[in-house]
Formats: sequence, structure tokens, C-alpha cells
Amino acid sequence: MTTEPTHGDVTAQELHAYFDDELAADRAKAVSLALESDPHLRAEYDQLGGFRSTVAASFEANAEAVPAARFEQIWDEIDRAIERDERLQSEADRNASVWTRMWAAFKPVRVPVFAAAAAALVTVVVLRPGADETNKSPAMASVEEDSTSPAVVGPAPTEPKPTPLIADSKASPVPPSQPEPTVTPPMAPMPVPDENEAEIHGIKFGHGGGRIANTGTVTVLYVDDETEPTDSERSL
Amino acid sequence: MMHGRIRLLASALAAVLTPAIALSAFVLPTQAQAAAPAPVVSVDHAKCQVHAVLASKEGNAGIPKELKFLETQLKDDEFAAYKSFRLIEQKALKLDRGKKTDVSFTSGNRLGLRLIGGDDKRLDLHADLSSRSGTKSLLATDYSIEDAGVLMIRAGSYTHKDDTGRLFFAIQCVRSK
Repeated sequence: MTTEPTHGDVTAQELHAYFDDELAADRAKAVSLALESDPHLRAEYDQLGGFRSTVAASFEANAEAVPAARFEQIWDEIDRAIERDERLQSEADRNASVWTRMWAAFKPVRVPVFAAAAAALVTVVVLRPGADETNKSPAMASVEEDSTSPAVVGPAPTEPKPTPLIADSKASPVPPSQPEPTVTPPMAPMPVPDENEAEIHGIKFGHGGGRIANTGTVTVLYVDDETEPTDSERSL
Repeated sequence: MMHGRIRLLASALAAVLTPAIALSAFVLPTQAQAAAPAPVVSVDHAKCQVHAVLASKEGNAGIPKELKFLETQLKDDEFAAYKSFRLIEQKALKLDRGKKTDVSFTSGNRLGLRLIGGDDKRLDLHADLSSRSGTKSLLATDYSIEDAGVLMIRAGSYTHKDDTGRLFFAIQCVRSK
């Protein structure tokens, strides 16, 4: 179908609109006048009428073949289907959580995202410093916590230089190194361990000398009075 | 088409990497732990307490409750000659490694202690004891002992109130933070 004028200034579209009685009054009057004066346009108009009659007759024939009750039933079925779809859609929209909707929205990129995350995790696990490297600095030392042997954590001080056990027993036996600022209030006695054997690495007795007794239960250093100083190394 | 290939590649990558992740999570820490050297123990501080005990051959008082923690030691053969024990004085000290700490007793004796070091079980200590006048050295020793172990030093004769006997110093130290 074309919009170009078919006859005079009447287009085919205007002719169809006139046929359907949809033209404005002024154009309808013009088309009516054209139909009266132009036999070709009139013949075309009549064809439109014939075509409509044929189609209408066909539909009417089919409709007459369907019982009225059946026709109503079909429409009811269509109405129910539409209502059911609308209800299900509204319920789905109402029940879907934000996460569900996001999960659904990200569905196309789920696998690539998880793959990238896995690769990143592997990289972190492989490249991260070992868990046990904490406090592995040469300046740090750590031991496990123990109720009887509390851990000492901190910079390791330098080993104190060994000093003569007794510098000069006659001159100054025990030089007071400090007044007693570190003396603390008495504390509860500590249970003595079963292994209570002291290992004497070196000992010097002053004046009257002395001896070492070690029974395995207790180590006793006996100091004797008014005898000459004696030296003993690992007397045990 | 391109999107399908990416998804396929990503799926294959994930299938390969997932077991690797699980394996790495268990194997790597275990290997690191096995390769780690033994921890170095450093004893930098210690708490000590010194009990001055008068052991007497007279009387029959036995071991008082404040000395019960030394019961095993005081019942040893080394103390079999003594029938009564009395706590004369108790002092507590804090030691820092390499730093000497002195403490004086009412008997006049002066005891010096110094923490030398130690390992995971024992402490290395230095102890020196002066005479009651403080002018003479009775003893100086370096020793090691288990945490909370007791070293006894017999200083000599001593009279406390009406009791006469031998004065012992019980030195007990334990590592601290």
C-alpha cells in the first residue's frame, strides 16, 4: 500500500480511512466527491468493500462453528492465565531478597570472578611470609608460655661477662653493688621441684673454707669459720 | 561466543586452582614449622626469695608452717641433726640479667645475687655471701638450678632471741617476665 495519491489528491491511505469512516469531515467530503467523479477510484473503493466482506464472512463462518459456551470458556481461560501470571510475577518480585537479585544479576560473571579470586588466594598463600616467621628476628626470642616457666620475650641482652667469684677475699668480700631498691615484698613460697639438684660451676669459700653437700634432694653449701680461703671447681 | 570461551577457561582454571589452594593451605605452614629452628630461650629476669632459717638441735618444734615448702629438704639427712627450724627473715628480690642485687639481713649477713642466664629449664645464677660483720666474704659461687629450685647455704652459728643454732639461707629463684 502506498501513501502516494492514487487519484487526484486522494491517497490510498485516505481511501482506506474513508472506507473505515475515520477521515476528518472535510477530507471525507473531498473523497466522496472524488469517488463520484472518478470511476477508477470508485472501483478501488468497491474492491475494499468486497475484501472486507470476504474476510468478515470467513470470520463469521468460523465463529458460528464455535458454540457460544465454548467461546466464553476460551476467554475465561485466557483471563485466568493472565491473572495467574501477574500474581506469580508479583510474588516473585516481593520475595526475592537483595542478595538473590544481586546473585541473579551477576550470574553471567560468576565463574570468571571466582576464578580470579582463587588465583589471588593462591598468590597470597604462596607469597605470604610463613606464620612461624613471627618473632624470627635475630633480636627477638620467644618461648612457649608455661605457668612455672613464664616466657621471656624481648631483645636478648648480651651475656654478662664472667667475673671472679671473689676478687679479694681479705680486702672487700662482698662489695655492695646497689643499695636494695629491688627488694620486693615477701611473696608466697614457691613449690620446690623434685629435681632440686644445683650444679655448682665454680665456688670460692672465704676465710674458714667450706664444703658442698648434694643429696639429690637438696644442695647445701657449708661455710666454715676462721680457716684459710680455699678454691673448689666442680667439687661434685 | 567469546563470552562462552571465557567462561569455559575460567571454569577450567578454577577446577585446577581449587585443589592447589587447599593443598597449599596445609602443606606450606607445616613445612615452615618443620624448617623453623628450635626457639632460643633467653632468661632475662628472675624473681627470687631468700629465707633465713635458724636450725637448732634443741627443742622439738619441727618445721613451722611457713617453712612447709622446704619440708622435703629439711627432712633430708643433711638436716637430720636439727630438731627445730625457725624462719628468721624472708626477703624477695627481682633480678635482671647481668645485674647484681644485694640484700641485707638482720643477722648482718649480706647476700648478693646475679642472674647469669639460663635455658628452658634451668637458671644460671651467681651468689655471694658476706660475714655478719659485712667485712668478709664467706662464699661466692656460680651455679645452675632448675626453676624454683632451692640452694641452701649454711652461714654459721647464730642466736635469735633464745634459740641458738645454725643459720641457713635458702635461695629460691624462678624466671619471670
